[in-house]
Amino acid sequence: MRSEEDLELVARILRGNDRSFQDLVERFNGVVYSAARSILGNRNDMEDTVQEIYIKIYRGLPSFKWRSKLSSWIYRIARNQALNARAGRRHDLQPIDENYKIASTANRPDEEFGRSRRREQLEILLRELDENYRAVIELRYMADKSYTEIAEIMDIPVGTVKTYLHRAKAAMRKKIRSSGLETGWKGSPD
Amino acid sequence: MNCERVERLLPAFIDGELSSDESAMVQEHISVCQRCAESYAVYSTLERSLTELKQELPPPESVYTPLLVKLTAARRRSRLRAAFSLQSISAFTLLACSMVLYLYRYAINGLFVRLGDGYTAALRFISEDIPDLIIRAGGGASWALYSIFTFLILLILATAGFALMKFAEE
Repeated sequence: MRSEEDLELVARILRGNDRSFQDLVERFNGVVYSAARSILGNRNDMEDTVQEIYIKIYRGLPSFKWRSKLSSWIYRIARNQALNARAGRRHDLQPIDENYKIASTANRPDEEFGRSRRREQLEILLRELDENYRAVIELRYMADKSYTEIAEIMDIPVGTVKTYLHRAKAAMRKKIRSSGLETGWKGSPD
Repeated sequence: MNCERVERLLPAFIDGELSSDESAMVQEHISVCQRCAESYAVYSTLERSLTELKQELPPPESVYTPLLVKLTAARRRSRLRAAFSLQSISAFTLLACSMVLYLYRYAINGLFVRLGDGYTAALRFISEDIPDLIIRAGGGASWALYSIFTFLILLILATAGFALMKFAEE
């Protein structure tokens, strides 16, 4: 389960090389953020959770047994830490219906429907997705990972990755229609 | 190809996951069906918005700089923990107690003798009967008595060590 590159990176970190841990952050930042965002959404305390995740990774590296790929192990740590953070701070979440009410006002004909408004709505659409669907979306688009990489990270078949991705988009499209937001999404992206 | 099937295939069409035949059929359908063309437009906008998500990923430097401070603190705590591990506390305590007992062996003997000259039966029991019992159990060697003392002091110091370790973790 170990690639030479991962093995070398972990060995350097365990020797106390700070620069190497920075390399790890650079390499897995997308995975960590995607995992955390798929659980927590775009919340203010994301930065704190991400820092906690990296500290967990740092502390856990000496006992990492290479039974899975490094990326998959990091993803699991990030996910578990985000779940803990969500359990501890659940009261911070806004009710989803309220968000939709706000988003729906953008459909007024006299209001310019811009990218930023769509961005807000996208966040709500993502939040409503099943966690696995959302994780695949975040890994694909935020972390810019290929289907194969996502399959390795999430430890699922490539076919399942594609199915999750298509179902996620279909679910978002359905929600756009049922929430009456279609007008803004039919136009040009800018 | 009907609208229902096209709608179902659109996510895969956008992702370029369809066969060339299926892709051509979807393309043909959306060129003549207003409803499916609008649905395709929604999917395309959704795709572009999703692609912009990566702009929200903070640069690694912004993550690493504050992290470095926390990692340095974590390393310091870990060194402290290693210094106060059970093994090191035990070894240190054993060594310290052995030295103390050796240096003060006459004073300790004297203390027991004085306690034996005391006035209460309880003191006599503690100072004479128990040590005697221990010494006899140990085949008459005074190391048995020393061991009990060492163990008690070890226990106290280990407790203090653990308390300190917990404090260091905070």
